[in-house]
Amino acid sequence: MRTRYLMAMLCLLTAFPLQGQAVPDDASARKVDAGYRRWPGVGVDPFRYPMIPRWGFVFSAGGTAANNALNFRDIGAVTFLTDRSAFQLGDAIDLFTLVPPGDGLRADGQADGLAYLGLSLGHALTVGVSAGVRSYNSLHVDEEAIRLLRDGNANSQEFSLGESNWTSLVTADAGVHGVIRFGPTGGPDGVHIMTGFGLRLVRPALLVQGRSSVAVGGRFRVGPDSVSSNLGFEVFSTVDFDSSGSYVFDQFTDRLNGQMGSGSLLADLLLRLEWPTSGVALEGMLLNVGSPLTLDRVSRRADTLLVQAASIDSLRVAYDSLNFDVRDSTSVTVTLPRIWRVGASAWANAVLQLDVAASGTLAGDVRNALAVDLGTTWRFLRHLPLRAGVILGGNQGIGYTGGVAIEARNFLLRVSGQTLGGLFETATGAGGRLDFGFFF
Amino acid sequence: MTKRMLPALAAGAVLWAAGCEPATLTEARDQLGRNGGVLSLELPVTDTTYFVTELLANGVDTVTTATGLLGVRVQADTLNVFSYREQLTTTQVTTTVGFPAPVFGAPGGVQDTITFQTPQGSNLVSASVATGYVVRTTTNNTGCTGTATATLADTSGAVVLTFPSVTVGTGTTVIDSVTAAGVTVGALVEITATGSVLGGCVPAPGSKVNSSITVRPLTLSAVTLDNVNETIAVEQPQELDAAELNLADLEDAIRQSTINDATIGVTVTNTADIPVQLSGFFLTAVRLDAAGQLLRDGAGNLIFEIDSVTGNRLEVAVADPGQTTFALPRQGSASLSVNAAPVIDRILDLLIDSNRVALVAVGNALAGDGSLATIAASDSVDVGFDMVLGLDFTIPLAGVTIDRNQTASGIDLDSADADDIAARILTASLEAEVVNGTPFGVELDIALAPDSLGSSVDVFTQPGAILLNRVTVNAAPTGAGGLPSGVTTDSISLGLSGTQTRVVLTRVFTAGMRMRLLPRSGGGTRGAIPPNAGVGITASVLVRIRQGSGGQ
Repeated sequence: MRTRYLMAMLCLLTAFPLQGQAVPDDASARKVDAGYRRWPGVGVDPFRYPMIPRWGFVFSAGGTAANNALNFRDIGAVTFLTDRSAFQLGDAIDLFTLVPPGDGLRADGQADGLAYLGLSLGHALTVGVSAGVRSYNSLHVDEEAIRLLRDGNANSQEFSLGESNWTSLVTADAGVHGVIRFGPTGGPDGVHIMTGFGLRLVRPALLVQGRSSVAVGGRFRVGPDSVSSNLGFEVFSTVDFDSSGSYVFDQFTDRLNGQMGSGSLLADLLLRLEWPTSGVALEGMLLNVGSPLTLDRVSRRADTLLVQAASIDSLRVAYDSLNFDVRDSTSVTVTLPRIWRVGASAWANAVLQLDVAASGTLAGDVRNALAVDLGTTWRFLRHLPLRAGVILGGNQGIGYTGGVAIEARNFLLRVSGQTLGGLFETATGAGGRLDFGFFF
Repeated sequence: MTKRMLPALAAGAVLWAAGCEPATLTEARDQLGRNGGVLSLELPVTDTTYFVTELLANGVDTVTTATGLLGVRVQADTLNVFSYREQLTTTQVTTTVGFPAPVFGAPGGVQDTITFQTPQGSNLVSASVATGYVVRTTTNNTGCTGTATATLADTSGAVVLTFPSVTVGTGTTVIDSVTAAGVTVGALVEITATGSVLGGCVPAPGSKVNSSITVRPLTLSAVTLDNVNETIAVEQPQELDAAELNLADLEDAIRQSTINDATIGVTVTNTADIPVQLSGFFLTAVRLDAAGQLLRDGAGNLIFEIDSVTGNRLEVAVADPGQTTFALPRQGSASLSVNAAPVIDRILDLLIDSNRVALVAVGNALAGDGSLATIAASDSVDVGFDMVLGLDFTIPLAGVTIDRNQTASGIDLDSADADDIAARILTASLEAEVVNGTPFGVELDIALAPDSLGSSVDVFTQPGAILLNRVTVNAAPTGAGGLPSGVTTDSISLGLSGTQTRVVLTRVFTAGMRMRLLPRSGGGTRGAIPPNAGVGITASVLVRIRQGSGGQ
């Protein structure tokens, strides 16, 4: 029913032109390539370069990282104290007060680096091949696990690991993405339809994943008369440590070659509707559609904290005896975050373009909270856009984004930056991307 | 590639963070503590019943007394009353036989006998010699050189010992000897001496050769007597070793209270094949001087410990019920258990106060019943004693004070962390419910001081020591004989300031305790402790820790 409704809306949108030309003739946005009119953002976007209808190649690297507790001044303070061997137990107690009540501690980050080669077959079709690495990271310490050390047990004596988990995944990607352009339909003011599709062969190269080994995070109770614990932890890791304490990547090359598990062929989809003369565009994108990744022979470290005692000292003894030696090797299945993004743009102005986009994840072991980007692009000079905007939501609340670029017909240099959860020192996250390319 | 990227990314993040670094430690801590607050933790400390047996130090040998109380084995040892080895010796006996000139060289020689002394009224049946020898002294005044031989035979005529033939010149004396070890003799030893003249010489008339046979004192390995009835006077001490008392904290209680229940279990063992009857036999306490000698008066009599109330000698009679004697069968033993509270009380008081004291066995032992008896040198009569102290005290109304130092492990924070946490602790309190099943109340003062201090150190006066509020626990109700008839429950709240908690945050600290055992309010001063008596404690600690610049 919902699908039918969406299809009907899509037909209505494409069947009728919007009102006549609204974009001034001298508007910069009207004169740039459609690919440059897309809000570039900082996150993962495999259609960022195929949307530019030219031959060319681009190198790009970027990433974001944010949390909901520590800002950069906090991190600076911790660094300052630890560098001087002055970090004390009391400082650790204070750190827990920085975790906002309600949602526990959350942190996430994504990063990617790739090389792209684009082939344009006329205006209607652009095909690009790309290769690179991506990293997906998320950490969630459940509110129930934080409460004991932040709030104590005066009001509640039951605690749990809840949905606490930690995943860090690095993949090697190679893919082909294409954009087919149609339109305008129904006249010069009609809609331009751009459909993007892509396939990526994704192979997992590195994984560290921790979680509760007891259903629903187990239970932990500490009251004035007794303490009990039924907690279990397990960590799956392809990272190991050698005898000197340095980390080594376990069979990194074998994993890249696909000999230590199966890769996945993932699809990326894009639909963009653009009314250039009206200065309006709508877009939807869905990434990482496909089967989960499987990693074989992943080391599993695990232990349990089982206590039923009348003394807190028994808990200390049990804690001291925890042993996270490798228990066995196992196969681990990881579902990449199915990232969605919908957005709209409007540029019926000589220099200003407005963009709004909402993004989030539908599924996956690494999840991102819903975030809304509100962006502006100022083209006082056509090829030198200035971008500024705010980001609402995510794990960090409000954030700010800005960037400057040279977006010429044959050359692309784009620098973007974000501070998340605040501005500069008070930010709890940051992001950035550098794009550099040539087109012919 | 990825291996290099990760450190680079991390370095980038650190560099960014470094740009946000504060200028001072205070500024850094203010930054992290900007939210503030109070962390309240209520943590269980214990829910355990501490039985009195567990409160006694390791090594204390606890038992259940015959009266059903928790008892402590104070000392168990063996006292040797007498050993028969000392009795199985002979005195020197000499018999001289002469060879008158007319018979010198006659066949068969001359004969005589040796007789040994035996206990009065008894007869020697046989004796086996362990060590000793027999000496022969031969003197010749016959005017001729001759040879002499001698043999010793038992009553059956069997030769048991032979002297070799010796040549004795006229006017000379020859002394020789042979060992008697291994020889078994009877009531009499018959001597046969022979001799002959050499070279056809004619001895002077009236002259003779004399051979003196001397049996030197012999040590016998065994002897069989008939009709033996030997009375032996006994006075044998056994010093008691204070180091073996192992009473731990009970020493203070014993010193200050009166013991109501103490027994000496006596087991007398007789290994000889001869019955023994102890008569007028008792165990008593006698102090020793610095040289370890029993104290005696001017007449050489032992100075016994005296009951200060009755003036009587403190003693434990070893006698069969209703008798003044104690019979021991042949190669057997007999036991009895004697209530000896006054004696043990005195002994313990003396030992605790570092006096040397001995348990002395005094009396007579009558060995034999007139019938045949065999005694070996290894046979003895021994008294095994087992002193058991029942935990049944009558304490003064003012109570009994016990001092104790107990080393404990702290939370093991380093000094800086301990200072920091102590400064952050707004309040800390120990809440406990105490269920006392012992007949004594407790008034407890506690002082805590850093580090491990010796047991003789007064923690209360140590620099930096903190004194906690006094804790009082009431005694359980008592019934007959001071035994607990129920339990008493008290709630205890012990408040600590942040400064006071500083000491327990370190690695190790010493708790000095002054514990006063108190009689039950309005009840008797006697308390007896059954084996299952204990104190149940359910305790939790409530601590409020300041977070950042949080509230007070």
